[in-house]
Amino acid sequence: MVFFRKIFILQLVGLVLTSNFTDCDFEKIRMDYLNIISKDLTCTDCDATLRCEDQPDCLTKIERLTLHPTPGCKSLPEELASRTEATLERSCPGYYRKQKNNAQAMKKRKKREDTIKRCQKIVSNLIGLWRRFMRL
Amino acid sequence: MTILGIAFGIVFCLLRVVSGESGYAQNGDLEDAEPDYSFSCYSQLEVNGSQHLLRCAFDDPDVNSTHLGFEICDGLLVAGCLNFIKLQEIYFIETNKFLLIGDSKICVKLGQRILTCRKMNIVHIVKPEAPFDVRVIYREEANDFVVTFNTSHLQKKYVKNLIHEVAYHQEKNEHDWMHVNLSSTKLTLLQRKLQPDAMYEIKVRSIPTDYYKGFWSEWSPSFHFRTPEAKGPGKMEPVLLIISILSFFSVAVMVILAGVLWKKRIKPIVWPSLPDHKKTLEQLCKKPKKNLTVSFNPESFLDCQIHKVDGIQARDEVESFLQDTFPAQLEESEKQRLGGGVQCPNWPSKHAVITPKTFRGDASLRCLAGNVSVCGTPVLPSSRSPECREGGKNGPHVYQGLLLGPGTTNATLHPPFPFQSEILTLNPAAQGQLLLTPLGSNQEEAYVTMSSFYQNQ
Repeated sequence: MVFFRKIFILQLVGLVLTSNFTDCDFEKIRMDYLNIISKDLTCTDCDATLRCEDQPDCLTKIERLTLHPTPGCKSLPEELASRTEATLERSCPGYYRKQKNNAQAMKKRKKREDTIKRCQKIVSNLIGLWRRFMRL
Repeated sequence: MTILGIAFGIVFCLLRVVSGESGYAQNGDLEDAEPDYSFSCYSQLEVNGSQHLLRCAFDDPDVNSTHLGFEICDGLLVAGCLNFIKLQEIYFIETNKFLLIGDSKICVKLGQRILTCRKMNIVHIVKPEAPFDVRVIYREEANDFVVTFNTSHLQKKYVKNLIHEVAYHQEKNEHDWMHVNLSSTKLTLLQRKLQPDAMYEIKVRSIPTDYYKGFWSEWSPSFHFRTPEAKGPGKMEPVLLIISILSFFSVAVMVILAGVLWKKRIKPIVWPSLPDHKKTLEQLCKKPKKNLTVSFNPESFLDCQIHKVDGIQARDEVESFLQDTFPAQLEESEKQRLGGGVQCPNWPSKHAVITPKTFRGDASLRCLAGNVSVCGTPVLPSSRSPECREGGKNGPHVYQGLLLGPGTTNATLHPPFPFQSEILTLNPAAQGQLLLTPLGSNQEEAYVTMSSFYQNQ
């Protein structure tokens, strides 16, 4: 009985934490990106390879790339991740923040330059996805 | 009774407690009320490199802020809260840890006790930095003043779009300010909208627009300038003066020329005169000259070539025939006539039509000048002698240069010209009306023929 209860709770949590971004205020997200988030995204040799079909799909991929970096690039600049999360949280009903410990991001500030270089590919893809989102 | 007393006692106590909490003292004076800790804040982004500034102050200047502090929580890139720095009565914080997305909570605290809080969005309380370097340049050729100024927001990342307000006034009119709003850093003021020879003061301030919201910046330092004096009524640009004089003289010359040439050149073109039919007719139908030869003596027509015309023939055929054979025929007819024979010249079966064209340049035809009728009808003279003419009954007959059709009568024509009455006799076999068929195919050709014949005279 306890076992089945735990499974039920886990499933409920998973259902709550999974966002499909279909009910978001896309205009508000566009303005946040245009005036704030875009200032944190710069690339010298932009080579975007990822594509997205519609606005919810673009946000899904943006959120995944920003908040779940691939191996070799453990984290992106803290401003970028925090602001992306903040705009999703205030514009998408049911979205919850996934960043738990911002103190860890502060400690990593010393290795920031190395992180940016290693994560240049991810930044390029993010810029491509955001630009696609803005055009839709 | 007891119950009533208790009730009154409770009510009295309650009133006392309430009046005590409101600060109402026993002597009737109002004690110090709870201080008003309401405050207001503004932010300035990128005021020092990437550092942002947040500044707060109490609305009530009489607040004893000795042990009071401010803190900001939420809306930060870091977890927890950040405390403000106090500078006299002003509280501020300079950091780059603002999230800039979403609301932040700013609280007033006394020690560790929170007194009051307010939720604010950092990007909605932006106060831009004041513009600077205001300049006014006078452009004499354009008669205007160009106002330029600078702002530090042109080099910033976040707050770039601003609305600028330019205010100017004449220094002697202290409260009569003019305001102009613009989004760029350049403004043009027309000279005619300013007083001449007056001293003006001008200043600028800014406010964020679009995504960022907030308050007006402080005024820029004022700039003073003087407008030039008005140009006198007698003063005039030299170039303008020369152009005016040249224009005046050009117009005068044109008027004089128009007056002189009006009748001869201009009026016929502008108002062409229609021909007067009566005058034209009179010109065409002029009376013959008095010195023209008029005679009924056949011998006076010896030089004239008279040809018998038999029927209506094609003009081309006849003309060509005339060009080829006419000189030969003339000689032959002369010989025969001189020979006394009545025999008519060997006139071709085809009837020759002598048009006035063939007469041109022929001296022998001059005697026929007098034969021209009043209406200028061409006359085809006949070179035959009157005897020959009488004998030529089968041939075509010519009356006043016109071919007569087959229906011609035997009657002698009574031409309008009496001197021609005995020249021609008609074919007696023909009956019926006289058909006057003009040379050529229509009356227009006859008219042209006659008029050109008249011109030849």
